[in-house]
Amino acid sequence: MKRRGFIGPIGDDIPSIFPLMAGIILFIATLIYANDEFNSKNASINLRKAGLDMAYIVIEKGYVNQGGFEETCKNLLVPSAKKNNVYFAVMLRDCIADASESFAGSELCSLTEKDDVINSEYLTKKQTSIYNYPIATECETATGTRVGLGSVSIITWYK
Amino acid sequence: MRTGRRAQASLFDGITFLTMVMTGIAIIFVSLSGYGSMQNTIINRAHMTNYLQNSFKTVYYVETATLASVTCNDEPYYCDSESACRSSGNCVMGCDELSSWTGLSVAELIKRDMRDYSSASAGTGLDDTFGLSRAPGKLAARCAFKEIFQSFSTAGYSYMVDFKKIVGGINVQVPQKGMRITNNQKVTSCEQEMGKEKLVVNAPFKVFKCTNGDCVGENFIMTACVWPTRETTATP
Repeated sequence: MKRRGFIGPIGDDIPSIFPLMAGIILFIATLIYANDEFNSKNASINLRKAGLDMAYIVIEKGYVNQGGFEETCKNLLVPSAKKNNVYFAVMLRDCIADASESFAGSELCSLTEKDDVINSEYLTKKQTSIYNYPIATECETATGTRVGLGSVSIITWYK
Repeated sequence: MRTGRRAQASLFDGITFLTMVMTGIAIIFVSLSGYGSMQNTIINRAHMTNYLQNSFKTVYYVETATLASVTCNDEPYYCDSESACRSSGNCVMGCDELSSWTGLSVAELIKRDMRDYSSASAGTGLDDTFGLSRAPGKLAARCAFKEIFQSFSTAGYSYMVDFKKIVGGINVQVPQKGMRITNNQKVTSCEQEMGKEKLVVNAPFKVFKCTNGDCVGENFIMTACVWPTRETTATP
C-alpha cells in the first residue's frame, strides 16, 4: 500500500517542531525582557520614593540655612539614604544665584562615592531623581544678610 | 489515522501552540506597559502636594523687601493692568514698592492687609491697605507666589492662592481687589471647577485683631490650588 505524504515517524513531526521552538524561544525571551523591565521600573519608583522621603526632611521647616543643616544631614538624611541604598546631594540656591545655571548654588549635604564632584556632567551618567522646592534662605544683599526666596534641589541616584 | 493527515495535525498543534504563546506575550506586554504608571502618578501628586505645603511655610520666613526685584516679565496676567500691558506694552507689576518693607515677612504683611477685613462690608479684604494706610499684603503675595510657582507656570499649570474666613462654620471667601494672586485671572476662586487634575492644599491662617491691647484671633484658611491650564473651564 502506498503511504502518501509519509516521511517517517520523526520526519512527520518535523514541521511542528519549528513553531514549537519559535513559541518557546519567544516566550522565554519575553519573560526575560519583562523581568528586566519590571526591575527597571521598580528601581525608578524606589529611587523617586527615596528622593521624596529626603525632600520631606529637607523642607520640613520651609527654611534652610547653610550653617544649621549639619545635624539634619548627619542624623536624618544620611541614614535615610543608606536605608534606601542610594547616593544623594542637597543643593541650595540662594536668591542671588544665577538662575540660568542648572547646578548653581552650594552643596548642603551629600553622600557620594569618594572624591566625586557633583555636577551636570557627573549626573548625566547616572539614573537620577531630582526634586526642586522653593525655600526661604539667607541671602547676602547690598544691605546685609536677609531671608529671601531661594530653592533647594534634592538629587538622588543609585550606588 | 492516515499518516498524511498526521503530519498536518502535528503542524496544526504547533501553530496553535504558537498562537497561545503570542496571546500570552501580548498579555505580558499590556500588563507591563501599565505597570508603575499609578505609582508614578501618586509620587507626582505627593511631590506637588509637598511643594504647595512648602510654599505656605516659605512665605512665613521670606522678608518682603527681598521681593522688590520681581517683575512681571511682560506677562499680562501678572501685571497691574492687564489691558495696559497688552495694548501699550506698559507691563508693570509694582513689586519694587516692597523694597521699603524690611524686617517683615510676606505672611505678616498679608495678615496686616487682612486685619481690616469684615465679611459684612464688601470692598475690604486683600486690597493692599489696612484702614487708610498702605499695607501691600496682596502685592507681596502676588510677587512671592509668582516666583514660588514659576516652575509650575513654565510647565503649563495655572495656580491661585485664595483666602477664606470661617464665619459660623461657613467659609466666606476674602475678596481680592484688582489683580488676584494667580497667573490665570479668569479664575476667581479655588472652588471653581477646573478639571480632575486640580490639586488643592489648605492651611490654617490666624489673623489677630488688636484694639487697645486687647487681641482677638480670627481664623482664616489659606488655600493654594494648581491645575493644568488647558483644563481651565472658568469664564472671565
